Amino acid sequence: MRTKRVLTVIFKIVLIVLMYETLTRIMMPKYIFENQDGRITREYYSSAKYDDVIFVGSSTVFSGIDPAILWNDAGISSYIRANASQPMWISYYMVEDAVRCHKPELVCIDTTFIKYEDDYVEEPSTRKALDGMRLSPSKIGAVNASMGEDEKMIEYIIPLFRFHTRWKELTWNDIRYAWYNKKVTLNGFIEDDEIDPVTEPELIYTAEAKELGPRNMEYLCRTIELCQENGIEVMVFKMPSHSSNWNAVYDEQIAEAVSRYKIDYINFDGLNDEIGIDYSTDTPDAGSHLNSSGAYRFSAYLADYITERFDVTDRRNDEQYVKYWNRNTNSL
Amino acid sequence: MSFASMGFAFFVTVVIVIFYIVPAKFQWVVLLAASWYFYGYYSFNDLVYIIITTVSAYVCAALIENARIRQDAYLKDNAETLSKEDRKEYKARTKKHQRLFLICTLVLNFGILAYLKYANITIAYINMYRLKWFGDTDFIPFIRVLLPLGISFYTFQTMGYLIDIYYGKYARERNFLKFALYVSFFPQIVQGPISRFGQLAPQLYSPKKYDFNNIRSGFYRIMWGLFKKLVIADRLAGYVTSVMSQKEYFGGFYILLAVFFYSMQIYGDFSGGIDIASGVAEMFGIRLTENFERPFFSKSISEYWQRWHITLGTWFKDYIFYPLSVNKKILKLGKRLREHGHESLGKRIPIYIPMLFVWILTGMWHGSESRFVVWGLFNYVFIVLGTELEGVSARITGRLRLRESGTLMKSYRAFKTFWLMSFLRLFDINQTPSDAFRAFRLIFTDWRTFDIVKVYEQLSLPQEDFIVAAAAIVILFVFELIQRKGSVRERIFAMPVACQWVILSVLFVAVSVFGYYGPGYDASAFIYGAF
Repeated sequence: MRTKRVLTVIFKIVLIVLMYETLTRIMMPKYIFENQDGRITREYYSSAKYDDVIFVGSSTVFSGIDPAILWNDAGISSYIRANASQPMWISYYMVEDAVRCHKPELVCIDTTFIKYEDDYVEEPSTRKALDGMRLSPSKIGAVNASMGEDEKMIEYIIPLFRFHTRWKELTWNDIRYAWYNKKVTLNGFIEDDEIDPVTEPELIYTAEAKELGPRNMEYLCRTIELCQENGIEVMVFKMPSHSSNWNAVYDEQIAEAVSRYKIDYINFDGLNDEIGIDYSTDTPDAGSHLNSSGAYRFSAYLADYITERFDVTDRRNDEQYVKYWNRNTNSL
Repeated sequence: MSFASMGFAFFVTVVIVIFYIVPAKFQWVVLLAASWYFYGYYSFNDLVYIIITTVSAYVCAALIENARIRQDAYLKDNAETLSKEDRKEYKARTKKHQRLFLICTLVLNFGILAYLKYANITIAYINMYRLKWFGDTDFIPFIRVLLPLGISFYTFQTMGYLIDIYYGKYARERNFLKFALYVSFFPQIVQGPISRFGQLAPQLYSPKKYDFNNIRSGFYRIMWGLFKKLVIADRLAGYVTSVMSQKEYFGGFYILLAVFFYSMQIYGDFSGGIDIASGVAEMFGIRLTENFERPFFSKSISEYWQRWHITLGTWFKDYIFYPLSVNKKILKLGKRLREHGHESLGKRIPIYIPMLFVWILTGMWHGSESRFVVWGLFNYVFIVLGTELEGVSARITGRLRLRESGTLMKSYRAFKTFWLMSFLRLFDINQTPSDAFRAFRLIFTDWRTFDIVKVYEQLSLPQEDFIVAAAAIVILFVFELIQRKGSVRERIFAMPVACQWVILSVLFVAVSVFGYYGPGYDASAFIYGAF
């Protein structure tokens, strides 16, 4: 009798959880056909243990670095934990979360977004970055650091409270893809074949020469410290672009800050010829991001750059990694 | 920590777990701690007001009872020496002392309530008339104070207790902390119901055994309350506000629809809140007094007020209406009228005069502005007219050969009562009585310009929400129709488990998906929480 009661209670709990999970999955945006960067964080966990290099940063990273090229050219197994408009504090927690799952050998921090204000909040981007993150102290920390005034922690822990309003816009695809778990990104890389050439060939920075936000700088330093405490090498860089929204003063401040940790900083903007980027064909939006061909060229260059400067294991002879990368490339 | 928040759900869960874990004799302590935490969490500074009420009522009750004990002892000890007149005189003296204690405490507590509730509106009127009559622009500054949470509810409940103690209805609660629990029991402190000591206190203090049925039953009631609040009330709030703020542009059917929706909104909001409060209390094995009994099925305004906010109505009846109706002057007036041949009027006047006071006070209870007093007076007038015209109505019904107890007449009366009460709510949703009258007048204009698309696109009620609101209102009415034949929950619990789960799942989906909450929605606070 007692066993029956216990079983009934367990059955009811399972039923409630299942019901909640199904509802949540139906209501949440799927990010399969558009805004695919919303899948990057969630897809990470299925391959976390194979990723020796982690990239963090903003949209320039997930559109401009192709981990498949890094793998093919240098045997570097990497994952991009970047999202659109990802501020430094989310990058910090992405690294913390990654370290908890599987300690990488190298963390590469893109600073493109560091120029934004310390109080920068953009809920859709935060959602895309954090909804896929597993519940952990890192997620709580990331949400706390990123929430806007109107947002609540509970809405990140129970996303149904945020996304229940989507009932008005539900389509058949929301039900069809509710339990869809296949990868739609290649280890965080999102291909973009569009071409929108740069009209002004000479890159002149026009952004205000200001002091970078102390919060942004603090999280950059904290990320480096976290890596160094865990014996992880760090690369700090700025993704190549042809965007005028930058200032050499930022480079100086970043270089100075990271030099305290004996780390070099590189802005790839000035290395177009060396990398081989042609902004008449390699950008989908007049120079702000790289497209697939730009990503191909930069990733090939980056593979050599990392190999030369960092101690990252070439995994091309490791059967498990080979299988993993074969699976990765075949899945798309 | 609104009732309709995850914070409150978490809080209640924790309190329930602790409540059933601790030894039974400490359960009331858990409730007291939870109640004080809840109140302090809401507004720590307001604790001072509830403490004043608790302490003053406790002391006053002690003084009243001690006076009675002293009197009884004195009369007993001197039974043989005291004459009848002496005994009477001593009793009168004791009663006088008791009355003094009572009046002082009532003045203190209702004085605090009146000060907090009416000080600013009084200042506003004084400033307005000083400017109007004397051109004086040296305005009196407003006081910076917000009405403490639930002050009207706990003040009425506690003062009701004191009056009962004065009349010797109950023995006072001697344990201060237990009494404090009666004053501050957290599920009902926000918006009632206004419980009576004899009904609530024994339940609060008695040990409770864990009973799954209480949890289940309470949970269903909470979900139903959330449905009414989040799916109906908060969904309709936007439309009502939009129409009333632009009534010059959206007259006719738009206002009529707003009037109907506001009735649904306020019912969903208030009764939903009471359902949540009752559901939470039920989880602790405590049954709160019912505050609503399907008011929209009432066939007269008097009946309506016996079904809507029942505990406030009975409070006014017991503590204002009855004492006034046995007032010597009023009784004398009735007698004089009867002696002068106005037999019927002589019987009704001793009812109508106290009723007038009750309705003015009811209006004032609902708000400090003059529109609420006007609203109360309209209620009074409609009730009096309803009573006075009963004969005429019966004659018309007779001539039309309609049966009073027939479905047609019942439906007609319910329909009429519903709309009368709904139109009176125009005083509630407009800022001044003249605004309310204008809104009423505008109902009869511009009927041809009604366009449902404007409701969807310009009046904060998109098509999908309109459909959900309409469906939810239908569900609400069907539920209440079923409820007339007995408890709906009892019926559900008698069903096979699978059916119970289907119902619970539908309710869960309805609330969690279609509820108006989260970012993007400005979920209204419970309207009656502001009283």
